[in-house]
Amino acid sequence: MNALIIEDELSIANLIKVNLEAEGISADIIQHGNEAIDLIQSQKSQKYSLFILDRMLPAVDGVEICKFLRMYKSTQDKPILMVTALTSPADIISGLDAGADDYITKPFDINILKARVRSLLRRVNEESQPEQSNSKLFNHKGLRVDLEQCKVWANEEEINLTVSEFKLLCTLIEKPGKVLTRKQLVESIQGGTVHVTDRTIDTHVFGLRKKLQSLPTIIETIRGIGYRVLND
Amino acid sequence: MIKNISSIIFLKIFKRFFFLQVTALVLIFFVSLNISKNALEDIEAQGFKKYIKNYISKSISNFPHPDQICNDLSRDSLFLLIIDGTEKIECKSSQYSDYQAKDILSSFQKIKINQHIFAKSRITNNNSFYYYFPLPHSLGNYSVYYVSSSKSLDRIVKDMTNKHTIALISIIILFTLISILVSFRLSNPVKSIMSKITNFTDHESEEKIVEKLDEDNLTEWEVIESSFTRTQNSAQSLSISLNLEIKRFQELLDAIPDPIFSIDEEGTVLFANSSFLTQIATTNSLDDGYIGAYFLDIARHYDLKKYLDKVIDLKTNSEPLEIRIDKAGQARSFLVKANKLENSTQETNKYVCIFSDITKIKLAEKMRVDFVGNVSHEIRTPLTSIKGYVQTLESIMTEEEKEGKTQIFKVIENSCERLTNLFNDLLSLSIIDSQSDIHKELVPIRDITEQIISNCLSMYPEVDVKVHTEYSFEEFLTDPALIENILQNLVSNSFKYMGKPGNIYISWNQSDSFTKLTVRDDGEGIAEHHLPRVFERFYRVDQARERNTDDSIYSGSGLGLSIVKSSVNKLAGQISTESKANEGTQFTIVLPH
Repeated sequence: MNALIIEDELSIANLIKVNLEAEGISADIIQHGNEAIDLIQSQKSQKYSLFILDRMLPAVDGVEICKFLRMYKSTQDKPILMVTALTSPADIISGLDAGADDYITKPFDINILKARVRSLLRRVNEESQPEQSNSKLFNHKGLRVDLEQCKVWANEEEINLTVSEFKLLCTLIEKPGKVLTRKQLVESIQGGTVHVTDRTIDTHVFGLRKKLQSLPTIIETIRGIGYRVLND
Repeated sequence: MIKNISSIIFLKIFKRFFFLQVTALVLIFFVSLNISKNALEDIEAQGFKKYIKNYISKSISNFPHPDQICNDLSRDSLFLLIIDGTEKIECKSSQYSDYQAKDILSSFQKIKINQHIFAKSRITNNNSFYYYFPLPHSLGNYSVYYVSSSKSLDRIVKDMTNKHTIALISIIILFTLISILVSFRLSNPVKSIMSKITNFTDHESEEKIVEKLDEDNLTEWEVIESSFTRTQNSAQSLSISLNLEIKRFQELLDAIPDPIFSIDEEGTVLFANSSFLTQIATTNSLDDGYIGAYFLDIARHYDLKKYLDKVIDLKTNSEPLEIRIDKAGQARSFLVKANKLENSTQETNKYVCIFSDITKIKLAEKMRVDFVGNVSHEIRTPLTSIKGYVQTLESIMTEEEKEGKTQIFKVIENSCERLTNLFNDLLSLSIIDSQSDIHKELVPIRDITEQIISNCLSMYPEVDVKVHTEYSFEEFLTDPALIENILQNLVSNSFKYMGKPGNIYISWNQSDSFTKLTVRDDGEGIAEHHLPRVFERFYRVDQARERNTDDSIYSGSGLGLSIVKSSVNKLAGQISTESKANEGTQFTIVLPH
């Protein structure tokens, strides 16, 4: 397993690298944003299964690099963990909207970093398994969803969801562990005559959580940022 | 008699008619009387003329003898005298006297009577007819002097005069009535003009006009004309001062540095000050004038056009728009606000558009944001290294190696944590205290409160506490980040200062004008002498306890309540504290709508 660390502060880059290696993940470091872009464009980034990206780089914005990663086929679906010193919701949301899956703020607890990395890589592993990736079933920690029949069970008890709630749930479980911003959720359930706002998303999640009472922690709220379905 | 404009005008007009008519009638009266009298006299004379005609037409030889004429005429005469050429009296009337004759004959001289003509005269002070005619006869040339009384004629004339007079008086009365009527009708328009004059000109009061009409004896038309002239003059001076005002207004607007312009519903420019022309207008040649031009022709900014279209469509005042204008190589940011102007008449709507230059503000804001970002980065980076490497060290050490060093690691980590918290709080505080705007949205209070409660429960697992919540409404319009700051700090304080197992009560209430949040606990409480100072930065009630790094979880940056106060201030609210040592503490926050 190979990871690419894009971070201009060498001390932090090495910190991350050392800890990833302790998890059995080898890591390369790039310190300059332009170098990273060149690498992505040249398709040499294919070998990396995970990207750890600093939000604030000199010369190039982390958001730009994120967008680049999402543009190229070779890196489109690879998980991106954003490391950020900018903690305002607006900065984090812009990073997530640009394509990052998760974020961690500086200074971080390395154990949490490791946990997040593991979570993201688990999803990759699950997706790479053929029967799982084509499956129309989701089964995790008491939540079972049949995407074909549009049925949901919480601890084996069937739950009735509205169309929007179901769509929302499906988007969340599609990439467990990925933080989804309100904007991204709006785009996923927006359709035809339905007019969806950020407030609508909050209301739907609230309703969803209520209906999934027996699984209270399944949907995590990241205040001011968005939501995710936990993967651990 | 009450003297007012109506009566005076009426009288003036009436008098004119009346006098005109009376004069005419009287003239007619006398002329007619005279003519009639003369006609009557002529008729009277006709008789005598006929008598004479008989003889005149006869030949000379057939003239009657004077004696005959004497007989014919003497009966009715007052005086009859027929004399021959030698003035020998041939015949005389019965009343004849010498004394009388002289007078009468001299009267005949005075009258200068012509042949065959008679005269009626009053010279002799009696109303008589004087006749003279020469009588040529074979016996000699005689002159006949005949005076007859006009008594009967006079009676007739008198009768006629009486009848005339009666007629005159009747007609005068009739015409007076007609005059009154006509004067009344004619005076109405004049009256109404006069009343208009008194109404709209300040310098013509009713008394003054009455004075002019009455005492100065001006005609009403002269009064009207003078009023007209005065009005014309004042209109002219009004027009001059209006033009001056307009010019001053234009100068005033040109002096204002903010660009201002005004358009109508079609987008035609009604007005633009010089700041607009210099800073916003895109066309170089404004020599043709910009008034009346379509605004897009002189200011080619499409986002501005879209905004104005929206304002015109909605026919109402709209939210301001931020636009960037690049002119002469200089980029400026403006806040544009368009307002509909008050329109009392039914003309098309007009809009005034004002630009506020916010370039400096935006620059300052950008600098502030950049600064915050840079500071954040610079401080967090070394902190990350410290924390991360210490943790890494711990993780790579074996249990033996870690022997006796755990405390060292703990101290370093906790210090790092403290520093991080301190920095985060300082940053929060500085952002709240800065001029940045608050972003209001509908915040669901249940959601936000429950989240914070669960955060605190997981942060302070050892604390034995029951949290009670009360929500009297669902959501309200406010800044969620600031509410979070307030709740997070107050609730975590309650957790931290529980002391013994206890309760926390959080309640949200709302009235028409404000929203109230109460956070109460029955924990340790705050001593009275601390209360006034708790919101000060870094003020600590228990210095020793809070700085104790062993109880790192309970240590705070000392800025928690400052953040709460600053957040409350930013929301234009009020916060009050009540507390009793060992009984508990209550924070009450009131936020106006």
